[in-house]
Amino acid sequence: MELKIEKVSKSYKQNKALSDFSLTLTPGIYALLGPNGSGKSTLMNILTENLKPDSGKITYDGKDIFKMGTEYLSLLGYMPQYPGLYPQFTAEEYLYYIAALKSIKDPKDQIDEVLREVELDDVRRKRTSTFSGGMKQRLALAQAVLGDPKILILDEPTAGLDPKQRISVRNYISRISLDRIVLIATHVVSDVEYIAKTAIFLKKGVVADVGSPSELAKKADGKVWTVKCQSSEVAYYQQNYKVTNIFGEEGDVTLRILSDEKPCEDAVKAVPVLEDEYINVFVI
Amino acid sequence: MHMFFKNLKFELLKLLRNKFIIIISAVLITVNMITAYRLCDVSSDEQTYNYSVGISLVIKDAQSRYGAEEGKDGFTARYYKMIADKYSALVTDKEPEAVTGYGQYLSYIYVDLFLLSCCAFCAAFVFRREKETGEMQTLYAYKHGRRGYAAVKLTACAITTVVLVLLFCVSSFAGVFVRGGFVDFTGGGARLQDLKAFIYAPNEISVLSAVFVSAFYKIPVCIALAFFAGGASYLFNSGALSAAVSALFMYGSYMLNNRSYINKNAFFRNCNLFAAIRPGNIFGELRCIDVFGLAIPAYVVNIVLPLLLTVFFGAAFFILHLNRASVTIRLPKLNFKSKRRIRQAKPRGLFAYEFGKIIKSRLCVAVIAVMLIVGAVVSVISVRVFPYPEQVYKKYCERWQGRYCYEIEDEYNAEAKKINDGFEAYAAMRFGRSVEGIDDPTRAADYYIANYEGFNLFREKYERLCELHAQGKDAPILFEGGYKRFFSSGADVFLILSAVFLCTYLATYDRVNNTESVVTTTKNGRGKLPGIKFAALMTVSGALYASFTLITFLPVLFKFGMTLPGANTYAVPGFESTGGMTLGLYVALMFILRFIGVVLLCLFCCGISSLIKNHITAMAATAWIYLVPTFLLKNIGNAAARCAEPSLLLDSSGFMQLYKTPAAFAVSAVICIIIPLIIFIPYIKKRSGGRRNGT
Repeated sequence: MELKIEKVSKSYKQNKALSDFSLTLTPGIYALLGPNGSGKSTLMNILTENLKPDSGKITYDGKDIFKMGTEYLSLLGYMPQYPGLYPQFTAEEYLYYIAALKSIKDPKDQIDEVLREVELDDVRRKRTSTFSGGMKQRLALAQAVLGDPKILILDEPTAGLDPKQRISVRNYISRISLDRIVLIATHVVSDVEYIAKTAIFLKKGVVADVGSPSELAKKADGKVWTVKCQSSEVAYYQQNYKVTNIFGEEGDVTLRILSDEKPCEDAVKAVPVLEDEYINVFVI
Repeated sequence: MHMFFKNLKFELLKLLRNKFIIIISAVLITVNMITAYRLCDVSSDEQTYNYSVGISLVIKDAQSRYGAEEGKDGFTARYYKMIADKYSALVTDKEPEAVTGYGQYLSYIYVDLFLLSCCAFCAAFVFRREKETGEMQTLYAYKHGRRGYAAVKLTACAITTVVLVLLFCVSSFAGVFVRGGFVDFTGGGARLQDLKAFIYAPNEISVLSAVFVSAFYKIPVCIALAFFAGGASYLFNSGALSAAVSALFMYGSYMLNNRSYINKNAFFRNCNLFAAIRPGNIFGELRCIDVFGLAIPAYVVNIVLPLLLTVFFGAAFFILHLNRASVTIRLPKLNFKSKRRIRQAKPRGLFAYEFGKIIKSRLCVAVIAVMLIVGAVVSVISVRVFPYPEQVYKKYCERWQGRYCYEIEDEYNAEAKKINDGFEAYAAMRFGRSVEGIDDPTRAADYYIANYEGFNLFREKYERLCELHAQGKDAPILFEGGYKRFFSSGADVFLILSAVFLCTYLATYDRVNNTESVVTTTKNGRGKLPGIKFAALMTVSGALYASFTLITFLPVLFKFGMTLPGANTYAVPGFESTGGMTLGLYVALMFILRFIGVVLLCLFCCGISSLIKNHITAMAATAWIYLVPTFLLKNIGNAAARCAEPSLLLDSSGFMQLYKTPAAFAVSAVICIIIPLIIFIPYIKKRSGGRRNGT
């Protein structure tokens, strides 16, 4: 099972959203990280055939996805960034509707299972118009995984979820990723740090960096410092260094700084995480 | 105060940056300019003044009224004398040409209506913006977000309205100026036909002055309407509902002004938008109105009432905003829904889900229910069988209903002559005499036989009205079926709009609910779904039309049977003109035609909805495109050309167009089917396999 993206480009008038983007995806979780406007959603829309690339080729097991037609669509599960639901449908009805669209025969067991997994089992017969933002998000995830798709594309799947649900959803995605390709686009680095096989940093439509989260985090090794200072000194550090965190307590402030050189005498080296490398790549 | 002006600047910027407002204002100004250009008469020869229809009638009317008022020392009589003295020497014998065809649409009534609509639209934009963008919560938390906000909104709305009215009036002047009519009235040059009030004005007044007096007159009423429309749009959470409320306000005003069965009272006639927006009472009909026993000049009512309304609506908006008033109309829940909610869902076919999207919407169910109730009401009150003379009598009532005027008198006399000629021809033929001066005696005799009794019924009423008129009493000719007529003629348009509402509702459903990206990534979401959606649309609108047709005709079918001939039936739309056709055949043909019409309507709705995301916009666009040809082709003399309108097949009067003109079938088939198919292409492209190429 291999989804191969070769030199895919896409422009909106003068703006290049993707430029010669290439990547090969095999089963596992891929995290697509990048600031707003970096081309994440464009890539997702191309992979879901909602957009057509200007140039380049995308193949699934050697076959061009744009020529596969419904054969490719039946492999897909997609959760968009701002998922909409039908307000007149109940959660259960909505999933049955999606099951009908996906041509799933006898979907009852699957629907029961996914509703349990996303913790919506108790509200399955309530209309989606009565759902909170988090519940809608989980139902959108449920529809994406329905039908056991081989390619799962999730755009900001944990947005709007509380910490408990976040962990629950994260673990669920991790569990189902063993035999399928999962591509997650997100701004929240911590969500994918521990579950992603590969993280892709996308910057202005090109791959800025790619590797496993631990490999990428290592790139920031020796550049992350912890500095204790007075609150009056914070402005100085912010002007001269990349400050990734500020923590204050009773007049003393602890800063987490990204710098090639030791920012001050008292600075202590810290263990880098993926977020540090993210800041390193994206914050000038 | 500084903050007030700063906020005001931003409010006006919001308006100026809205392309819809710019476009609609530009269209208004252009249409008004063309109207003024067209209706302004410019004469080069003083001896052969060819006054426009409006002015000629005013002069005739003034002469007649002066004759009636002579001897009395009345305020009105003095004015009539002035007019008669001033213009009688100029009137030639040449009869004015009647305004026909497209010219009818370039009238001041339409542009005034357009102006009022624009004011309401701009006001709705000003007042509703924060609600729609969800900024109201934030705004309310700020210092100037309450009283300051309300004051700024009202001021911005008033300024916009004033600017719009001034632009409107300047465009009137531009129209006259381009025509070369920038001269004084006394010079005998430019005449603004519909600003007929200015014929009563002092000699010195120029067209430019007249136009700006008109602006002064229009501003209060426009601001009053803008505040009303703005307040309504602020109050109701639904944009469509607030638009409906404003339209109802305008329509109520129009009814007060125009419907003869209401406007017997002069106070009512003058206390509405349509009386106030036109400056007829400034110089012209300077009469007093009985307002609770006080004699108040009409123009005072026209000016003061809008000002009072402005203050009232402005204050109401303050109160609404400070109390955070908001009305959400929620239709009642049906009991069977709550029972169904506890039932477990079962897998169903896609068609059932698509169908369910409409059936589960309370709004759609309400639209269908209202439509069927209207159908039942129309059917019960309008479908009647009349004796033959009464039918003809009603035809005359309809033709000449309204207030007595010389135009009616001329037409009446012409008709009386035609009947008399017919009688001569009939008598001559019956007694074997030769017929002189009549081109086609047989036809004239037939006309007499067909119309004599009905005309005589009408004649009695008409002569009574002439007597009243001679006594100076203004009595309108009433057609007793006013509301019935409104229902039966309005039902077709209402039905089309209901079907458009339902079709665009379903066609835009996925896009409106932001589920399109999910749906199109599923196996059946591209190839199969468009067809299923189309079938659901067909089912819903087809069922609506079938039910409506049955409800309309069933009472007649039950009462008179399938074999009732059309010749002696009144108010079954179109049927009375079919002659020998039976009611059963007529109903069957209506079913067939409407089925084809429904298919076309669904094609239209799908095509347009695939281009537009918002349901209301899609509905408006579809209705506009669908109904505009009806409006434009109405006055075309050629029957085949009239059949080139897509809504014809759904319109009951359309049946007769197709029935009478065989060529019309061909035209309908070519134009009414090809156009929807072209519009349908984007839908097919988009929904089944076609992919977006970026936006």
